[in-house]
Amino acid sequence: MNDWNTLLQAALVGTERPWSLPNLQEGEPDPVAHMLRDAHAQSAPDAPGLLLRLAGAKAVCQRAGWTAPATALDPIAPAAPESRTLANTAWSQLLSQAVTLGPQRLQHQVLFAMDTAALRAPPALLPALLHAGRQSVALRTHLLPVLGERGRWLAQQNAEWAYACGAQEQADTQTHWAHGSLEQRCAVLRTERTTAPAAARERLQADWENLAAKDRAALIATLHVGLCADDEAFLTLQLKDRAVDVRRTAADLLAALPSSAYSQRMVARMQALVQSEQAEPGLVGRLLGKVLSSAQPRWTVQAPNAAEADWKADQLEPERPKYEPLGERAWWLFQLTSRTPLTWWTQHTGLDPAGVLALAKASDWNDALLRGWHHAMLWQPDAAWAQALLDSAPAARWDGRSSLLALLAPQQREQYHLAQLAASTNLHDVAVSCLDGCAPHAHLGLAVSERLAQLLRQHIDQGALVNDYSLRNQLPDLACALHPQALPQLANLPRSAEETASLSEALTLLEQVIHSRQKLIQLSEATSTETPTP
Amino acid sequence: MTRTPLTAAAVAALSPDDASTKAARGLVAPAKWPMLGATDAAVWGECQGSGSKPYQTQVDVSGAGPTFRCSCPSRKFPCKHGLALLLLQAQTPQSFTAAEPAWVSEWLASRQERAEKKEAKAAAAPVVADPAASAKREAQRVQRMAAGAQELALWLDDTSRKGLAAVSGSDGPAWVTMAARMVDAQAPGLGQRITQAFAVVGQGRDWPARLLGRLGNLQLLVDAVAQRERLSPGLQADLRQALGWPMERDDVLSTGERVSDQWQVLAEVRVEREARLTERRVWLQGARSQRRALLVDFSFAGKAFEQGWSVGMPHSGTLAFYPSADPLRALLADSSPVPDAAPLPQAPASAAEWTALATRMAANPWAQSWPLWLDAVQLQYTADAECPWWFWMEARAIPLAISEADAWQLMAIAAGGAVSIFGEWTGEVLRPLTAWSDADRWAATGVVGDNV
Repeated sequence: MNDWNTLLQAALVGTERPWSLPNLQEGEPDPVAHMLRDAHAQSAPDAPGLLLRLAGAKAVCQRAGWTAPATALDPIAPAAPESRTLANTAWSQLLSQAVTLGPQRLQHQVLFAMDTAALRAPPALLPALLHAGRQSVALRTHLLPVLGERGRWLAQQNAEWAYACGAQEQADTQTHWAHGSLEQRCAVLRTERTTAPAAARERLQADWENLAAKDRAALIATLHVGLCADDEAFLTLQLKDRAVDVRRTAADLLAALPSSAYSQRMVARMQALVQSEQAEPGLVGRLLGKVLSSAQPRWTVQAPNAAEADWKADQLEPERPKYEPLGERAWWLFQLTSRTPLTWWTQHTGLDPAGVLALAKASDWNDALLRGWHHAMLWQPDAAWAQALLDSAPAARWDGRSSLLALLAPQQREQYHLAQLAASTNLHDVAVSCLDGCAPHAHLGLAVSERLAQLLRQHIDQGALVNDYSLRNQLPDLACALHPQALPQLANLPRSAEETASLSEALTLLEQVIHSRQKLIQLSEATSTETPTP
Repeated sequence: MTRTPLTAAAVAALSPDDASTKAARGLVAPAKWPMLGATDAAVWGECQGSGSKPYQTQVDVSGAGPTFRCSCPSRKFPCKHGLALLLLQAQTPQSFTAAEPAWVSEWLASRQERAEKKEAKAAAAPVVADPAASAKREAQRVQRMAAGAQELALWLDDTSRKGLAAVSGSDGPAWVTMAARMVDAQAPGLGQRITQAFAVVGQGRDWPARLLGRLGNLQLLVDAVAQRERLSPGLQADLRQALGWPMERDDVLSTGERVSDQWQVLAEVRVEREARLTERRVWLQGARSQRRALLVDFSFAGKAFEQGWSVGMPHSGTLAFYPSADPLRALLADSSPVPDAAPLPQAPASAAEWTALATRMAANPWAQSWPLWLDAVQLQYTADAECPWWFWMEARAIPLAISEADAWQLMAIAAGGAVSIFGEWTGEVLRPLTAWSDADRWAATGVVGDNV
């Protein structure tokens, strides 16, 4: 036992018990050991403070002689060499601003532009970016490449940033598939599905058994890209998966394949509920019988009266969730509608989507049907249906309005927004709708932007911002979604010395966002002209 | 030479906290500032606040770092108005057109005058009001401290007789009482060390060993008080410092060892002490003398620090060192910033640095932290819950006291590569303050484990 441990033992039990320093070996070279024993020998055995004195001296010597302990662990391997160019000061400042200011659209646009220009973020910004990506999944698509190899390396060191780990950006497809992050693996499948859908499916199938439920659910959803009849066998198998998310996605995908046995079963169920009803011919009818028979049949929609025993196997839940606003039968109808091919409706009734929606409106089950179609649209994109759904309920506040707007052709989308701008009295709602219809890295068309900016400006000039907190919060995002040529309308907003601190902060934020966005446009133009054309 | 305004990022770095930065951003609007002006020496403006009279905000930018003054009642320093003023200048320098008003000229003149007065005072011979009376007062204090130390010696002996295993968190009141007795005996340093020793009880795996080290060090202090006359003058000064009886500034300026050099700022860190008191520590390294120095000053209630320092900016000047067996702490006797930033010299070889550290520890056994400047260390994150952050160096590991946010920021900059690091070594852990890699520099936003 060394001297320090001896002193510590003695100190722990108390010096009322006898203690002494261990005997020294012959020729002990340690001068501190000799010093301690000399001091000990010169004092009375119970001299006050003797133990603490020796411990104090020993501690000072130990502290001075401290050497860092050897470590058996290997130092972490440094980050892989970068394949992207480091952002210059202007880009770095812009990115830093976007991260500090906060509006997600601005962050999205800066990251999108930096990704397009094959730039990577400066090291000092990486923790803030990784944090932002952890908060927002939507941000990750362009954030991950901009992190560069160093960002990926940093993410590997912190479990909270695991989403950003993955294989080197320049690695081949096989490496990305074998060692990449979940996002990278999804990207591999999505890319492969566009050129070789069967190969991508087989790639997924080969790995299927080893995948965690969360990964299975995310990866199977990528089959949505290039979905074809050949996928049916694999998808049908997954209706029996252990994870409910996987089963549901498989069912949604099968419903998007009208020829699948699953779709046929759903159609058969729906067929019993959607029936044409020949009007009971009255006297006049009988007289005009010939004329009437050529008229449109009248369609009615019924909700199921009971859940069937075979529903569960097709991922239809007989049990209504606790907080479900729909009634029990409506809940059943909603599920059936969600997984019935949209094409069936038009073929079966001979109506166009608007006509089908009209018959829903006339029925008792409008809410269930609308929600069902809306869900079906996520997996069975169809511009005509999207337009009809948007037109049927222009004021409805749907969570998924953006997914419908995304299905429209740009021109139709513009028309839709312009019509809303002309009709609505609630600027905030229209503004939200415009934001919904605008992809985060894109901007609205010029006509819509100019009209919207004009209305916003009028509103602000009338002092609306003083009380309209929701519009205040929307402004930074709107400033990012407007066409660049419409931005000057929001410049030089009226300021007054009397404005409240929060209004002042909101207006300053808006000014800074506009400033950043103009800077972004300028930088993007400069960067794209710098790139030599191949 | 026309001064370039600070960038927005550089201004944000001056902010005391996030709330101030945010508040300042809200004021970055020319409409809020009826009057704005700037010269190479100063920036000023009037900001419309909630009252009828606008706040007069001014920043002296002639020094190495900006010095703020504002007529607002905020206790933050710098306040949001000062920050907003500089942010505004970064954004729209062309709107700073007003002529220098009297309140700016007066302030600048008074700063100049104060600096001159200080010089004059330093040059003038110290005036001793009544040498006999002050000697008597000093003798009285020494007597009181010696009596306190004796009382502490008895208490220490009593504690060690009962055994450290008997010490537990519930003994707090007894230790607090003992610490208060030391303050009564005019030896607050002893009281502080009692509090520091008790702070380790029950904390971490090896707290009994750390408690023994701290109590042992107190015993050495108590012993030294008893035989103070036999100590070297340097050690006597260190004892006095450790007892909490620091030498008067004027005495240091008039009698302390003076070293003129070009001083490189290695680190600047601010620590919030008890309510409203901010301590600032600036570590310097002399380019010619290779001397290392620590400047400590305090700011109460958000008042300005007299001299701005920024890492990497050299200052030519003269320091007056506090007498010590290992002189580190110093006062700025006179200084002027050198406009062109010289590159930072290389960190010393690690063997030499560790030897110098051991020598310092041997010279002044009562010091509690020492400067440490190491080259080529690698930051490592481990699964060790008690101390997750380490520096790897030549297959050896140095434990760190660093905040999570600071550590990840440093990790991003170092990326597994080697960095140069300057920090404060406490004998147990290193508190990193500044790090340099090839392209980047990192600075700690605060210090961890320095709140006693």
